[in-house]
Amino acid sequence: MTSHSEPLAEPLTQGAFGRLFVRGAIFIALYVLLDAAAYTLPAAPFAATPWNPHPALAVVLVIDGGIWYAPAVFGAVALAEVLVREAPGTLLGTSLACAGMAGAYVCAGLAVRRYVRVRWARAGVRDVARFIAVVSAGTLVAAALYVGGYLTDGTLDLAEAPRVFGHLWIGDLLGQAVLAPLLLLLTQGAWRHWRRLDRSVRRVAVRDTVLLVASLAALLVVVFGVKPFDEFRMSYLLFLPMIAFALRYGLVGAALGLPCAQIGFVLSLVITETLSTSAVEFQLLMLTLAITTLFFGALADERRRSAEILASRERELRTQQSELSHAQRSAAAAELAAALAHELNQPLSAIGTYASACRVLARNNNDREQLLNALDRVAEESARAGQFVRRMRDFFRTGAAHMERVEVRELVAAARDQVGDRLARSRIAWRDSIEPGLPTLPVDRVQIGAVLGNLLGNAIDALAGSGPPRAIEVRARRASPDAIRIEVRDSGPGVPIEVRDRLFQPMSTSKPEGMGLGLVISRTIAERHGGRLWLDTESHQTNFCLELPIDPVPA
Amino acid sequence: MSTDAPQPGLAGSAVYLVEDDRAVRESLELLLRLRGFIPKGFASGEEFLAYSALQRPACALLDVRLPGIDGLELQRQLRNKHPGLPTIVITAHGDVSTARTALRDGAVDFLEKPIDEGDLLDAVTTALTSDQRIVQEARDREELAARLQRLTAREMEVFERITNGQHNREIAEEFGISPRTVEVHRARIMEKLRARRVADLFRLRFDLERNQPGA
Repeated sequence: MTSHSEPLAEPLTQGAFGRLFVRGAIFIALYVLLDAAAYTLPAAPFAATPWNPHPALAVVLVIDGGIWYAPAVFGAVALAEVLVREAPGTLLGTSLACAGMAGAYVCAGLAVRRYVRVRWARAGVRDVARFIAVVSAGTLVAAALYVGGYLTDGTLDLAEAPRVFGHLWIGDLLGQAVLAPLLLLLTQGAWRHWRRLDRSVRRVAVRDTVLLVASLAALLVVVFGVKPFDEFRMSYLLFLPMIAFALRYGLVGAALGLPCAQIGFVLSLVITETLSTSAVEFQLLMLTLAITTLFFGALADERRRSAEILASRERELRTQQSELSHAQRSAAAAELAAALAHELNQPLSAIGTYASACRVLARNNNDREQLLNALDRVAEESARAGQFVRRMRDFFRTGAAHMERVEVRELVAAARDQVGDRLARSRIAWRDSIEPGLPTLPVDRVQIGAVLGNLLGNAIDALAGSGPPRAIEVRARRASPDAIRIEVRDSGPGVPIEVRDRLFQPMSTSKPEGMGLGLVISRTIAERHGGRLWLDTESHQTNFCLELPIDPVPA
Repeated sequence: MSTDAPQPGLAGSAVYLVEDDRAVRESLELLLRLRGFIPKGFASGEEFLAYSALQRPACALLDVRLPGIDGLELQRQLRNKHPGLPTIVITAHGDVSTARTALRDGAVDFLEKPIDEGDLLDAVTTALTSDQRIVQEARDREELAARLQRLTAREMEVFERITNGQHNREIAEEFGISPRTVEVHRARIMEKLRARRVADLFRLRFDLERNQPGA
């Protein structure tokens, strides 16, 4: 077992002593009262009741307060023995029995405090198992020492001892399993947590608790009142509402539900007067119910917590992803900006230099002709920059294009001309097959030229690494009554599967230089034309398909 | 230092300009011409390397982004073809690593587009001043060598000893000639080397050794 390294007790501060005293006194009073209440229903002539709730008080007191409460536990056990059971043995026997029992409770409390995570917000299945193990051992030792104490002075007959021991142990254990969770909940300020909950949540919880109590009551009426079978053989029905409640409300639900079931059960036994005959069956059934319910509660808590962790991880992941894609977009924008800056820099640089020259010329009247000439050049360069800016703006923002009807053959030929040098230099064979009689396409000649040029450029790059024979084939045909498809295919190794998915995302370039924007922009252009651009994944070679509508898209 | 006229002595110097963008090239040519230099533009590095009528003192303005061989490669090839020719590199905006490479390879300066007139004139002035000195030194060296050629063997020996700080008497003893003859040699040496005072001889010796290390 791992230690939670809880000290045996927190150091006592001033003022804490008074609190210790008050709580100890209240505890002793409650302990004696509970013992007396349980003792009114003795299961046997000797002091053994079907369930003993008061030891749970002792153990929880030590769990909460530490070893400082040991004297209170000893006092309570002894006082109850005297007041409730009228100290059946001699002074020595009674003292031994009480000291042994109280000592075992204190040790059990300290062990739980050290080895079990009892905070209900964090406890899991393993903690429930440890708790049950520790209190089983503690109550076993307590019962053994108690019986042993009364054996020394002959108050208890040796023949009676096993039965009394069994009753006492199981009764104590049952009390622990049923009541300790609720008591632990109360010491941890569960009430304050409840008050902080949303009103609607609280309303639902109250409704469910009422439902639980009602269904328990109804089931008990069936089991004990209608009695379709003898005794309480139908009691396993009680498991259903308890498990449902524990699954819904976790350990808190189990801790609340168990005392309800227990009280209902005991009342039923008392009312139907079946208690004395079937105390052991009742104890075992109730113990099984308690342990099962606690485990289900812990299981539900764990499941809920892992679901919460999973959800928060997912949220984190989503945030990271969105940050990443933002970063990708910014990087793409930065590259684009750099490219634009370079294009604009040339005319700007020329304008600046001409302006400097004009200043010199303006001082000299003889240079009038030259001055006008230089000013003309400034205007020209300014127009050049403006044209570039307009082209970019049209392209990126308004999407305005100069649509005209162009022959497919003409588009392909223009694209081929763009890369003619590179084809020759890389010794790449060119083939094109254009279906005869294709209608003209309503396109922006420059933009679609850029798309085809980009596809051809990619194909040439892809072929750079592959051996001869290298070939690029462009085919155009009527794909449907209202669309023409142009395919660009190269004899290279094809696009690796892992690249395919990212192909149309910015920055996914596999080339060391290059913006990684070519295909993104190309697809945007195709879509602005009412068409599509995609990679044909059926083909094992690289085959990009550009499909364009024959009828112009409405602006 | 954006003055209207170049520093005296720099006017009329050649500025070679390699820039593929016609507008940028022509605007720089116009401005440099107005500032009193003699610019000559080339659209590529190959064109400039093929040009054989290069005149010194001069400097070269090289754009980094060129078709064919780029500005940095051109700069390296110029070092062999025209040793000492000062180069100024024109980089794209904010291209720090290119600028660093250019300076490491011996560029006088680098300019960013759009080019500031003051920076341009400063860089060109610095480069031309530097080349003027280089050319002047080379010329001095040649002239000195030519003058020394005119000394006889004995006069050369006497020149070395005079500039070693030896007295006429010592020199006369060493060569077994009269001090009077040494006086005659000295006068001939002064005349041939166009020195007016003995101190001039020391300066010439100094220049000689500086220009021909180990000689």
